[in-house]
Amino acid sequence: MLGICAASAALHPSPNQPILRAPTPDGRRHRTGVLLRCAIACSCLLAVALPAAARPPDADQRPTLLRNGTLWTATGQVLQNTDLTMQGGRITFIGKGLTPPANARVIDLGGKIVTPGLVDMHSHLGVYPAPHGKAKADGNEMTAPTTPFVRAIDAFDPEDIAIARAVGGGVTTALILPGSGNVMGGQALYVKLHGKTVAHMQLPNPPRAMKWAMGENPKRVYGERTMMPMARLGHAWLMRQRLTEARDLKDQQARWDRDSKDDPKAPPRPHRADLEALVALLRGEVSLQVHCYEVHDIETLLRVAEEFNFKVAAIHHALEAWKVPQLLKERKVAVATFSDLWGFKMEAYDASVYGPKILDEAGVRLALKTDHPVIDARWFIFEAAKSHHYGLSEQAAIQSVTRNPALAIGLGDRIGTLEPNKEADVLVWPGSPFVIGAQPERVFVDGTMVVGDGVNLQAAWSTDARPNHGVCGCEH
Amino acid sequence: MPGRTTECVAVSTKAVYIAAPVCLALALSAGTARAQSAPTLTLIKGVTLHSVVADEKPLADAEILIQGDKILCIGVANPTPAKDGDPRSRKSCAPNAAGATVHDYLGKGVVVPGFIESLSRMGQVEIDMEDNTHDGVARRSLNLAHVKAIDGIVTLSRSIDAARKGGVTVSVARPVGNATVVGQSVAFRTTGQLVGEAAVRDDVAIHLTLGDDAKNGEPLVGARSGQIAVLRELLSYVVRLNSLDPKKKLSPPEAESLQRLRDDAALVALAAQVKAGRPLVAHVQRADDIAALLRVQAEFKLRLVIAGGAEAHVVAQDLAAAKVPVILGQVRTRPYDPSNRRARDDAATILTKAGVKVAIATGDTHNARHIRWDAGFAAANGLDPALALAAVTRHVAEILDLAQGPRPATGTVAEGGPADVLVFDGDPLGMAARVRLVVCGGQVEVDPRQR
Repeated sequence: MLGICAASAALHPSPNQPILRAPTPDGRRHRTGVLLRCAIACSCLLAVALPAAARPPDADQRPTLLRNGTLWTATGQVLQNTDLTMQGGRITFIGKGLTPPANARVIDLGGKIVTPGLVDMHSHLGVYPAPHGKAKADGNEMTAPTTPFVRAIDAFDPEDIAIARAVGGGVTTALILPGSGNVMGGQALYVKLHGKTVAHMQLPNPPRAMKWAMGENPKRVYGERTMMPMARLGHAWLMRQRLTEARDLKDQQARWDRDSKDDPKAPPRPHRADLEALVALLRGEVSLQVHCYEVHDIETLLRVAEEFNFKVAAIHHALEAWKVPQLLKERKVAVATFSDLWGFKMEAYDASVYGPKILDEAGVRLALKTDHPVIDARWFIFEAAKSHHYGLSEQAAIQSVTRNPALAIGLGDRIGTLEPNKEADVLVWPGSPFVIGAQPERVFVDGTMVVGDGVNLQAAWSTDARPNHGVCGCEH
Repeated sequence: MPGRTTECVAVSTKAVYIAAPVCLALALSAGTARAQSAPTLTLIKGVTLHSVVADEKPLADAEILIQGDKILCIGVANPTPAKDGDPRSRKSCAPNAAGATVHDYLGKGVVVPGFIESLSRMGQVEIDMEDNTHDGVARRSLNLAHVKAIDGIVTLSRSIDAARKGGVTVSVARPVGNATVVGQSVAFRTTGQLVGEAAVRDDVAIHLTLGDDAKNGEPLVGARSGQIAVLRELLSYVVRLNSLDPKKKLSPPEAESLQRLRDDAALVALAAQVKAGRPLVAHVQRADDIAALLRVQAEFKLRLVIAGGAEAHVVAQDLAAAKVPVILGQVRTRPYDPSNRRARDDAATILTKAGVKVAIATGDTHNARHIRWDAGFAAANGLDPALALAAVTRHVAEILDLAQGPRPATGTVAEGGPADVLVFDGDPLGMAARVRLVVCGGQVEVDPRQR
């Protein structure tokens, strides 16, 4: 489990994301101690040198030198005539006139634009897999309004044919979220869009994230059954009710750890499987991602967060966030929004195409996302292109689909920028990423060329393999 | 609600890019200026004109003089008398432009006709999840040919405003619902207080819902095969009604049977529209469903149009042979349903190469404003850019006969034609260009700003 990705975190700790976790035997995760952290770092130093990693070895593990690219690093820099090497799943060097590693594949880019792989922090790939149908619509456990205990990993279908299209469009990492029918929808899954099985695609040593939803969806789903929440009144109560239970349990566990841990006659440590994730949230170990559109819903969420002392990592969709940028900046809440989608419901009615620009310029961490299949993940880059058209600067636009979502989901130290030691998720674009119909001509995931030279490796792994024309647009 | 003009005052200004008279309400709320439809003169110059008139080439240094809702003159800044050249380059419009408000784009403007969206729900559905913002479904019946979409349109709509600001000057709306024959569409300009004054024509086409769309909700016909059977049945009645010989003496049972058909208002409407040569627009995605429709078309000699058509390219040759045009409903493919699995990015190109006339629509209630980027997507996937532009302008007007109405829409920029004109500051099909001017039925909006 302690593979290349853990190494990244250990070698390049970010002050915002110091938490390394390893699963305990009972499947729950705890903050690792200093000793274990050191062990991870040490083993990972080796992992850098060895191609073997937690993710199964790919057919193509050669080192790669991309020569003479224009690097949009997503740190705000544009590096002309620059080389980039990838080895062992990492970006190893960035500079001019680099020497190719032994046995390297050398690709001369002739000035083409290179960006980090796209990070889609709101995706339902695999949990609403294509072809669509009720048989595999597994993203929303709408049998009770609070299901913080369910996990997207248990619904994720790696044979979703949309995955190959998404990676063809440049998406290399996705946060797979449960749907928004529930107040507390469940736990998210971090995947790299390359692999044949869930275990292969899952990000090794992942952070934890949870999905909640504010506003219309839960009250529609349950209100129609005359159940709570029928109104925002009941919605907030359900949040408080569950959080109170979790807070009580957290306190009981703390007391047990203090008073009873070494007492062989003590009763077992208090535990409730249905509250484990919420307790972890209250301990600051879970990144909370909340579907939340309107200003008053943002306020309710932040009010409850203050009452129970937890952090909201990001609000999603958030089509009214542009009205309260200062509030979001102060509370350090990222925004994952649409470029131009609006109007499909009341909470989505008061949107502005200038929202992304307003938020970014106000200093709010701005991400775009697809909500696939709401927007086909293959066209994720078009979201950035549209926001750029409406005033978001070019480099802010590329950051909004790479660095910023990576930071907002706790992966800022691993992916999202072109920097040495970051995981080698790299795109080469034939022209500007922001022209109509733009698709990368090469996609590297962990250093493996998944798309390139007219081949989309991922497509071959779909049960219903499709000709390339539907996948990477390389028919011309 | 911005975008509704309630009070207009004449503002005298000589500044370029400011239209006069200016609608004050709009100028204040949205930072844009928009003229009333008084027959004022507007001169657009310093532009390259893509008229989309068949066989006309782009005209550099063009001048377009608009009076009221008509284009009065098309010329060039520096006319040349060459007889073999473009006749439009033999004259300047300046002599007729005294007193006109001048919009000079200094050679950098690009003029195209206003876009025509043909599959959007704008004006019928304002907020999808709020029923009281919908026209709604007329009623449960297989044939609703007498239902006219014009009667359910509300022009007080942010979607319509957004579309117009994005360059959509005409939208075609069909009645909402999943009846096999769902009713008659209306084409209306994206301006004006009421749809009546905005309507291009209210009898554009008869619309058919087929395939999975017709199986949504509480379908009256569950099966695809059943849908086609219903269509054949209805068309057989239409044939009976339309081929009556008034001199022929009918037996009492025959007369009684005929009277039953005549008492069916929907059937009478369907027969009348078919007889009048109005197109039957079938909303359908799957190639097999399109093939089934082509069989029906061959039997009944229908004027058929395919709308949606995600898999139409699979039967491109058959469509071309039957002279059936296609309104592509989603060029940016998402082949995720069993009925559109064969969708391709280059569908418009394949259809065009096979000889099928192609139009492009967004089918998007709220974002028809970005129709030009759908046309751009087709161009990026191999379609001649001139044809991509035609696909969202003239081709729509031709396929749906929009030029033959009380207030025609042609999807072209031509002398004597309707004043539906856009100015961009770059390639209208590209991401970089901005809409600088929208003239919609003669109403002028400078530098429209989206919400």
